[in-house]
Amino acid sequence: MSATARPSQDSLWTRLLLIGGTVGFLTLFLFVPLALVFTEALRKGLQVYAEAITEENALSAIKLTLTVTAISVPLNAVFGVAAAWAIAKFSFKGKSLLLALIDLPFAVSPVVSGLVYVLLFGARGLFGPWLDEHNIQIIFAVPGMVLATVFVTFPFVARELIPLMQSQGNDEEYAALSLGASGWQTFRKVTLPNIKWALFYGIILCNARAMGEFGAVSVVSGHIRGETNTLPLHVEVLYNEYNSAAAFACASILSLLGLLTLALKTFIEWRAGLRRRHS
Amino acid sequence: MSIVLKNIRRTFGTFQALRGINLEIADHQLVALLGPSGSGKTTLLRIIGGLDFPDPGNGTVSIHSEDVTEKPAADRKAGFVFQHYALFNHLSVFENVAFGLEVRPRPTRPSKEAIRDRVLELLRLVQLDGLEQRLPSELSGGQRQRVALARALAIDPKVLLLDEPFGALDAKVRKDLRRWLRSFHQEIGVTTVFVTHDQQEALELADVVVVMNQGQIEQTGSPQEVYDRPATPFVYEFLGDVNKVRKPGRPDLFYVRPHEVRILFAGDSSAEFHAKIEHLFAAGPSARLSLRLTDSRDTLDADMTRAQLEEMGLSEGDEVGLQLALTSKT
Repeated sequence: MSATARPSQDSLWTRLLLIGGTVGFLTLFLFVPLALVFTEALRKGLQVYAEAITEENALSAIKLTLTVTAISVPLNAVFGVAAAWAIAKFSFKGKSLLLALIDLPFAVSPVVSGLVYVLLFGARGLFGPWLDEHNIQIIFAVPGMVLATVFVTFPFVARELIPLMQSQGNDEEYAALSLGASGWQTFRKVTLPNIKWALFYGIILCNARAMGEFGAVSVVSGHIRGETNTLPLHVEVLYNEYNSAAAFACASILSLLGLLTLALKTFIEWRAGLRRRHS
Repeated sequence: MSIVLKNIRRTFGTFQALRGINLEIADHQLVALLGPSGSGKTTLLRIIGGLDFPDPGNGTVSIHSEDVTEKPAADRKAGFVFQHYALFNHLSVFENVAFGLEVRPRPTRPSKEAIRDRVLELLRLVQLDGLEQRLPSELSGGQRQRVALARALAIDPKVLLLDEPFGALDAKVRKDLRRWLRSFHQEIGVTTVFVTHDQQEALELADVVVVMNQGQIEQTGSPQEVYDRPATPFVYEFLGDVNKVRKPGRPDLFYVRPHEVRILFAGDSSAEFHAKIEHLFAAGPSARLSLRLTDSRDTLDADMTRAQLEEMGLSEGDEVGLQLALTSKT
């Protein structure tokens, strides 16, 4: 806190150079592209824009994206809390291995994880014949896309919670147990309120990534228009067809969702900061 | 007997935290588990409370004649107060104290009014009435500790377990709270076990002091017993200052506390030892002398009153005679 109040000892030129460099970089690589997305999207007028995003395939892509997100984010919220709980509150053999596994989706390329699912559940994959017999379609269908999204976005919630839960220790949970609370009561009344903001934050990041995921979903989707195209995939298809106005229109929806996420994230950081200062 | 522990062992990996603890605690007593860090005292307290368990098949815990070895903390009715309070920071003081009553299953849960009455009564008892709407973050350390105590008492515990209850407080508050806890215990009469590494605290506060070292009990007894008749060299050294002295021509060590050293004039015929005053420290009610024995060259500390010091007119560099009430410990 005192650091902001203390005048910098660096020379004026150093400061100008650093600030100017940062602003310049951000303008060139972030603001300009973002602005371009919207100008390109609206270049042929509102009419074309509205048509592009209400067209049948676009609507289906939006719907699919929301469906996949609506399934995978809650799943990962639950998995994430469970994994963070296990890692932060218990000591057991293989804990560091589990930690490494949680980071795996960050480490491998999404395309690879998509391919793994094809190898497992695809027609010629490990479980392919069995799935075929039972008439279950995973690859080139919604279940496959959910699986791929869950895999890629798994670390967000867990990673956000683990350091927090580790720093909080177990004393409050122990206190609740010694007062006669059941495990579920302890979780709901003690643990959950303590991790609330970090959990929201993790869910928002997870949500942003789930909606924007391209690589893994692209491999398992099969690009069936109006059926297995998510919004990012739809943008690519449109772009490859030189339909840039429509591509940018759809991209602008993704960008808006991104901006919304950013706003929510800032709000939550602000709230969590308030709370920290309060206690 | 309120608490009976039989042959408790607990190992963490290769570290033996407790190596066969046997202890009986009578009803209504205030008992101190005293020992240096790593002696196993907190582990023992957690095992009594059901927050930790003995190695399987190694030891039993009984509370009020009921074997609770296998019972989880929630079923033991042992009120636990943590060193860093472990208050629920998102709940008000009132909600913290009410927690143990609110989480009861519906058939045994008191009515809203009954809970309210009980909580307010407890807050009066710990002298925090009027603060029920505050958040724990708005309280001082001493107040938080008393909220934790009230919260633990709300469940009508069979025993009260306090882990370093004054560890996180500053010296002044510590002293006040210590005195308060003593009279508070007399008032409520619940069997209480507290963990401390501060011998002063244990001796001042407890009815019974259990001195622990390296996972074992060295001695159990009243404060006076353990101070005056230490059972082992460890207890002797851990409780209060102690001098180690060798008699000329004998290899064994003797123990003597500074206040047990009698200072005589150098020419006094009843002197057993002779020594030189190397340093004299006389700030405070009593004076402390650093002495070096003429024969063995051992150093030892001695306490005497300021009045005695002035009467004898001693100063640094003087020769004196000594009488020592020596206790052999080796």
